Amino acid sequence: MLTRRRLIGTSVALAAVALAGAPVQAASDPEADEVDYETARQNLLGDQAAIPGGIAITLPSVAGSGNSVPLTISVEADPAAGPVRLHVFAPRNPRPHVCSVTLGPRAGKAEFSTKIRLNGTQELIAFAELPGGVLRTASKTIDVTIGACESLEFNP
Amino acid sequence: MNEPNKRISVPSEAKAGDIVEIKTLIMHPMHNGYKFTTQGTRIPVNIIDEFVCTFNDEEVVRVDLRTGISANPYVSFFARVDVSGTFRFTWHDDKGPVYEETADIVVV
Repeated sequence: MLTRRRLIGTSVALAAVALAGAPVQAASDPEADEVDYETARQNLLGDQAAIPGGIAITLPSVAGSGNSVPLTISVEADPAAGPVRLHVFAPRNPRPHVCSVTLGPRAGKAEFSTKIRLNGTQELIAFAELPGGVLRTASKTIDVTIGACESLEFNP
Repeated sequence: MNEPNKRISVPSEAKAGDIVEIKTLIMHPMHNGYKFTTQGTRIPVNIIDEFVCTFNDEEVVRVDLRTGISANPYVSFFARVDVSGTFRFTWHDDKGPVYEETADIVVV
């Protein structure tokens, strides 16, 4: 809901961003992140069409707990030719945007690993922004037995 | 708050032009704002929202982490080393603190 307080807060934040000339998506805002997947993708990548393929997602096919799922993303690109940006989305998470990674020219490979939280069985989606302005995408389905956000409501 | 424990894995030496794997981990609860204490109060969001690794002041990787990253965030990636130098790792907590760690590598 748009309240006066939040509106003022947002204006101040936007003004600060404009003054600093920093990218809009620099700081994380948990409330603004709480949107559906389509909106999250739109906010981050706009309307740009993505070409499927060129990304390998390494993710277990079944995870007992969604609290910590190992994820590796490997892109068919050489970061030495220009920075490669990766974006990871988990559409069924309350905040679908999981992380964004910028691999600079010093990165030896366009590969990155981390551990993520997943709220239930879903199709993980990854995007890669390549130096030539090309956007690639890939997805992988994972079965999650117990999600990471089980205690959404207080339930003693 | 105390300085959290960090674990860094960087090879101590490499040949010029080698691609080395770097693994990093920092102890941090990564509160996602959906959990409650036993008293029923909501634990507010508190995460590491940015991780940066530089080699001799040149940026290798920058990660924008959100609440979808597990507690004790683990990040691993690769770097190409041509000369001896220092890797500097920086974690930014969304409540303000910045945690730093360095690791040296010798090119033989």
